Amino acid sequence: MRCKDIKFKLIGYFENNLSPEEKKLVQNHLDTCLRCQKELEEIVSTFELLKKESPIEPGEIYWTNFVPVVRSRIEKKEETGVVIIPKWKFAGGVVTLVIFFLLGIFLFKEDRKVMFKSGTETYSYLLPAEDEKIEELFYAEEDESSLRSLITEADRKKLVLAEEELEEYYWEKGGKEKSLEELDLKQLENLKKTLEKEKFKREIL
Amino acid sequence: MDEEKTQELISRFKSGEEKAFNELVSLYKKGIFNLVFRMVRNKEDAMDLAQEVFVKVYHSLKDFRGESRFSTWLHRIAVNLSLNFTQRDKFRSFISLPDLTQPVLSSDSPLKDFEKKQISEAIDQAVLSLPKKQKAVFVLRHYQELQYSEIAEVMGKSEGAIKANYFQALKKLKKSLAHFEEW
Repeated sequence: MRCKDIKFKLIGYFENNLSPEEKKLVQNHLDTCLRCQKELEEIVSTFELLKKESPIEPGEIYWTNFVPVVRSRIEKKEETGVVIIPKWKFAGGVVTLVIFFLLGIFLFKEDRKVMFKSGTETYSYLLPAEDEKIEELFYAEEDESSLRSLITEADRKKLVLAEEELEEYYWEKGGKEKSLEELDLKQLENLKKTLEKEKFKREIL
Repeated sequence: MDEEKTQELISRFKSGEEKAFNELVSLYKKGIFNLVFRMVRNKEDAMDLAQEVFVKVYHSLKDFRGESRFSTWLHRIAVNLSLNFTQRDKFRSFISLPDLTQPVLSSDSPLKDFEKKQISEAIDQAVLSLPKKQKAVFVLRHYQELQYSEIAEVMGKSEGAIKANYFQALKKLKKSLAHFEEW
């Protein structure tokens, strides 16, 4: 056996903690190896020195009060509402929260993208408040008074801007045979949806 | 320590008998104080930390599933608290004078007492300067007299690694205490 293999067994040899076979192997090696003999001597002398260490006694009062003090510390912690969270649990919690947050953002974006691809989203999903008005407007009777009751001045301005934008978009796409006014309600709605999809795509991508 | 008695106390505590916890503390307090003291090497700190170990045990005992022995679990908590404390204490010892413990002296002769005090202080410093894993292994083996297999469980390492750590710790101590050899 080599010195490298023997030296980790020297403490066990000193402590009389080896199997008879191991003990014999170490003994045979020690008989011929001066280096390992010296190593063993050093181990023995270190243990001898450690024996000289003084014992420590905290005192009888400490032991008598030990349980009551532990109890009062437990109660104190409970009163102050301190919950002991192991470090690894705390770190795990933070990591989980971050993962959920990032996943949430990712899925939200993905969800929106998928909706664009499948075209299943509703128009009001894209323009919640004002498009409700626009929607209503399309189905409203075509008299001035009912229109005024439906939309405020601010809404009207938004609507004008939205219509201008729609018109611009419509002509930008080209190849049109009809003017915007000639489109039926369904075609107009589809056009608005396409415009909003494109706007939203530009925003998120 | 009586494992059967321990298990009985744990199940009594889990079923709501608070008094059982007190008995559990009484059963293990001395061993834990000794372990913590040998780790931090300061009597006042050890007195405080030993109690803190049981406060932590109280809050975690309901989740203890008995996958390892209670003593192994308890030792793990005590070792971790001591190591964390030593880490914090490094800063404190940097800004204050060393606060070494006054050992119990035999008073056979003043010279012997003086020597003993000197050796104890040197051992304190030597153990404190060990790398933390080696220190924990050394304390668990030398003072607590735990089997290598149990230390391996406490530390979450293989038995071979523990033996190597113990050997290295002893070598370092030998080196730090070299000038006391002739005493």
